[in-house]
Amino acid sequence: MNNIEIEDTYHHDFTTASEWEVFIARLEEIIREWKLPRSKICSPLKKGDFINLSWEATSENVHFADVEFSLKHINLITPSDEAIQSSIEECEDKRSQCLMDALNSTNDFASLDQEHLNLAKYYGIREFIILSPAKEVAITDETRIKILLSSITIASNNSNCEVPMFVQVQEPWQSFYLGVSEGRGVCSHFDMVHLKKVPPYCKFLNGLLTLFKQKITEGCGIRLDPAMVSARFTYLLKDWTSSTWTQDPPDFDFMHGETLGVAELGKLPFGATFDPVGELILFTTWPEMPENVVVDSESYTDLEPQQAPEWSVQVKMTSSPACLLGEYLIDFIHLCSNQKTLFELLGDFVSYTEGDGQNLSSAFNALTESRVPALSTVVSKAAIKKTKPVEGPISEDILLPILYFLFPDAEDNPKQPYANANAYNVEDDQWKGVKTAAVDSLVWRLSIVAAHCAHNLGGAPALAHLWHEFVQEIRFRWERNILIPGIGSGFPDSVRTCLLHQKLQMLNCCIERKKVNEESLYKPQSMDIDDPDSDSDEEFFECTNEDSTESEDTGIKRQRKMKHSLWNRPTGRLAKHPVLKLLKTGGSLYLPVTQEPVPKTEDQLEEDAEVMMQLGTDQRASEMRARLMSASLLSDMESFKAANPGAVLEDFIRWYSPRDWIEEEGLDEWGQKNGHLSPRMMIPNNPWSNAWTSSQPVPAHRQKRLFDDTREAEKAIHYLTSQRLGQIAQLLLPVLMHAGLSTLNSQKQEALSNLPDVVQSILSKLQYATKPIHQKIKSYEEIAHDIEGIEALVAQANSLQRKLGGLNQTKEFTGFLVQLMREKEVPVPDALWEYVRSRITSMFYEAQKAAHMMTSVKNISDADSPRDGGNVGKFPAPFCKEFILRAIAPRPSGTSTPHPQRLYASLKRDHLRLAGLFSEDTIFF
Amino acid sequence: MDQEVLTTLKLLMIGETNVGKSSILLRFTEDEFNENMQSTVGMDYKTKQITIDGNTVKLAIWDTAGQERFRTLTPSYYRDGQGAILMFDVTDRHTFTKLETWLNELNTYCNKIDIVKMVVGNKNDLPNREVSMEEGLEFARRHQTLYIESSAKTADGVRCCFEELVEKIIQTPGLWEANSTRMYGGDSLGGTRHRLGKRGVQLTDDYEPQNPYSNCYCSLV
Repeated sequence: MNNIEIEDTYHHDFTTASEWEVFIARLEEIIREWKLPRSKICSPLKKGDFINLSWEATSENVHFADVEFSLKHINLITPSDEAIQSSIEECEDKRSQCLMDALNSTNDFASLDQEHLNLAKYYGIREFIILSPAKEVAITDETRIKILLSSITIASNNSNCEVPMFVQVQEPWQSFYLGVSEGRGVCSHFDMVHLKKVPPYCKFLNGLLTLFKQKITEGCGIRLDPAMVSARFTYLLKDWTSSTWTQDPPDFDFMHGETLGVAELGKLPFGATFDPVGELILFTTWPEMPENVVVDSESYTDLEPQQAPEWSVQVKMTSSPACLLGEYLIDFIHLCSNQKTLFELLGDFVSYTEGDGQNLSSAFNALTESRVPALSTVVSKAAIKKTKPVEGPISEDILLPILYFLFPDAEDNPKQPYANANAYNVEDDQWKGVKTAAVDSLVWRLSIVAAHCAHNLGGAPALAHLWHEFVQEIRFRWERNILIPGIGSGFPDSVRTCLLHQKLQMLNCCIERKKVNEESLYKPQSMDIDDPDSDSDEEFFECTNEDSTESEDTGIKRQRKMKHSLWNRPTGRLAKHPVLKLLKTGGSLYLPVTQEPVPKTEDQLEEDAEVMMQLGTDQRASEMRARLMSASLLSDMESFKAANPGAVLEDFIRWYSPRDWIEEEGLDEWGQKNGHLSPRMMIPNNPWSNAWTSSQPVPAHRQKRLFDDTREAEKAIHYLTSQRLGQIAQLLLPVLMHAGLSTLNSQKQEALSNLPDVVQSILSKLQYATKPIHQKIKSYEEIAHDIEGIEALVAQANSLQRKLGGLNQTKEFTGFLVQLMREKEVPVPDALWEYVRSRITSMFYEAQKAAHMMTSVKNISDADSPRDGGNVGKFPAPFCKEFILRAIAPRPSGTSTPHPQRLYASLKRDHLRLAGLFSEDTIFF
Repeated sequence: MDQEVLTTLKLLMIGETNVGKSSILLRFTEDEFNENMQSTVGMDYKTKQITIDGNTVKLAIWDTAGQERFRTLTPSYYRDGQGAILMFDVTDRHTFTKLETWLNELNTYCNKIDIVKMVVGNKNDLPNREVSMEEGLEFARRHQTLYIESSAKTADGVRCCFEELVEKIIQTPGLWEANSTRMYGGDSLGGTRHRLGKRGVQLTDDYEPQNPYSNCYCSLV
């Protein structure tokens, strides 16, 4: 027989090993692989370690027959501290890590919500192994539970592993675990009770204590030392009553009549439409105390929340608090991809714009006639029409204030006039580098109002309507020579402002020039009277002579008339040159009035550059470019000739390109230094001499215009009218984003100390996004989401400030707020103890009052726990009551060594969980 | 061999009249020199492909006229320039003192803040120097620009001038990759029609400016 046995061990015949044995063997193997069978004791946990330190999890899959399990090792990573370790090992060598942790009360009631980590809360342990079904299946069969439990017991015994091992059984949602830990002569059982209905005797501490003691002393009946009790009551507050913090979207229905909030129009909304703080959880904690100092029974309780020595608070934020500004921006971005035309959106309302191509002027007539019935006589201001044939998507009484807000100069007493138009300087404010428009300029206002339309006043059709009205007004102003307000004068600023702003600047340039031209028509200058004369004079132009002597020759006419009829009379002089005299005649050289430079918007500049590039790079292309560019040179030459009869190219060059005039020694007959043209100007047929020969003496005002204001204005207006809705939105988007960021920047919130930095970082994104002429919607989306995220944070902070801080802005409170924002449990600091406590208490009280009002008058006796008179109704019944009872008692018999016993209890309205750790001496029993 | 073009760079040439901008450009693009170069009317445009450190880039060089009156015209073409050559004539102090004005103009009209600037002292082959190299270097240092001296006549420093400028631009990634947003063809605003279609260049589209708060609200709390 011995032989056989020996042979058996030699053979290692495991062919008959059962599934169960294989399973246990595999468990042991994994445990060894993880190197768990060690008995090092780490230093005791410090307060908050469970929450602040990180947890580590390793897992392996195991099969038991055809069922797959996963074995998970979960471990708190503590900073290793060798010195403390050894000292503890010496004095308390007898107890395992698990039992020591179970007695340690520093991390009681830690709120851990990851999977399986509630075991740490139930038993206070820092390291454990869990065996759970790999798939979400329930193990409810008693036999199976027993088998699994035995498996882990055997495995932990065989592998000498002290780390507690658990089996997860029952439905997964129940977090139901049974476990065991063996070693050092102790066997600890981890038992659990999970009930839906709370037995009456378990509802209070006294009952639980009795239960605990019964369990410990069963069989031995010795008198115990008083057990230690920790308790925590949790209260939930969801009804904020008067401390709710929400923002209503701007309500345009209230904007009737004279007193409507014009200020509101220019603002973007900010904040959350429902309270960003979802609920407040109050934890009132009584740390370890002997059982005999506290009574908590059905008839009386010492555990009043207000008496609790420790309070901590946790807030739960609403996941998406529907932030107004973010919604505004994101909704608007969505409009950017709308391909509908204004006509498609507004139908007959804009039908006359259909004929814009050729029929512009007749369309204008129809427009101005129908639209300006009463105010047409008042030329000095824009008229906003009172009657309308068809009602648009925005009703009249809302539209009018909007138009007056955009064009305040149309009103006699503007409510919100623009600041001095030329004081707008996009450069010198904090928004430098964002290519949009100045704060509170016309385009700025328009973009904000457009966002209101898109979000509140009817979406795409409303925006189309607004745009339509806007363009009508622009057209009207162009027709009537009324400058567009809030734009400022000057050339389109293609470097610092957005395209829409440039287009409006361009229109203002056109209006200004048109005004000048028309004024000069009404009060004609002397040379204009000459017109017929000079026309007929043209043929004599070749005869060059001094003009002063010429007047004598034509003595037939009256003196005045004579002067006018001179065919060679200089015209278009601006000023006399201080030094230069004409080379041939010796007369003073006059600077001519020249045509003004041509304003261009960014898209036109790009087009121009494109044309220039397209010509190519060869010699011919260069000549072509020179010819294209020489229009202004030619114009200047003609003006010069007109102002300086008898001038030669040398005279022109001395004024225009002085470095091409090489001075020599000696003086000429007029006392000027001699000189000659630079060699490059003397090249035969060079563009300069060619231009000079081909130029006629024509003063600037009679030349063909380099800049055709009518054409340019019509082009700009056509551009505005022909945009599709998405394009309109894109024109406005950069400015709207800027306004949104500016709104965010105006928020003050102490708790978010680096708000300015974050605004700055969004600003740099915005600078980058607004630069190119072709806008990328994606980068704006990013910015909008950034803004929305921060808006939510600001709303949360504001809400918390209002709820808990009121006007308290101290550093302590701000610090408290910052921690709360992280949505973790935060103890109420000593410095704020009284203040925060009274605020929270009164919030609960308010909520209680409100609840009582709602459910008519219900008596307090309905409540779960009775209270003494003074505190009636201040707090609701606790949402959750938790107790931890600890004792050191000998088990299983009176002669055994005393070992730690512990019971965790959690009571909710419809749920009772008891998690007990009961240790037994395995040597003396 | 047709090498793949990494990017197209827009360079500007500015400075007083008759300092030799067009001559330098002619020397660079055609390797020619013409003692009597015509005075540029308005502006001119040349292209040239060069390879630096294995990267082939196409240069679109905008040569502008120096006459004061043209300044109402030419700055329109500064848009989106990535590099600028500010040229003066070392034999004429006036052209050097005027550089300040040109620099201001460039800063006003160029929409790229980080445009790379290079000060070039031209005609250094001539004997009658009025501006010393030290003065030129001092100016360049004060305005944070590159500095080089050149001669279109002897071809001295011409290639080097463009190469260094391009190298510097390439080393400033935000400057040229960002340019992709200006791609022709994909016109979303519908305002202008681009007859050019695609130029032979495709730039990477996903440049992100470096930004310490990219996850801004995480850092907020």
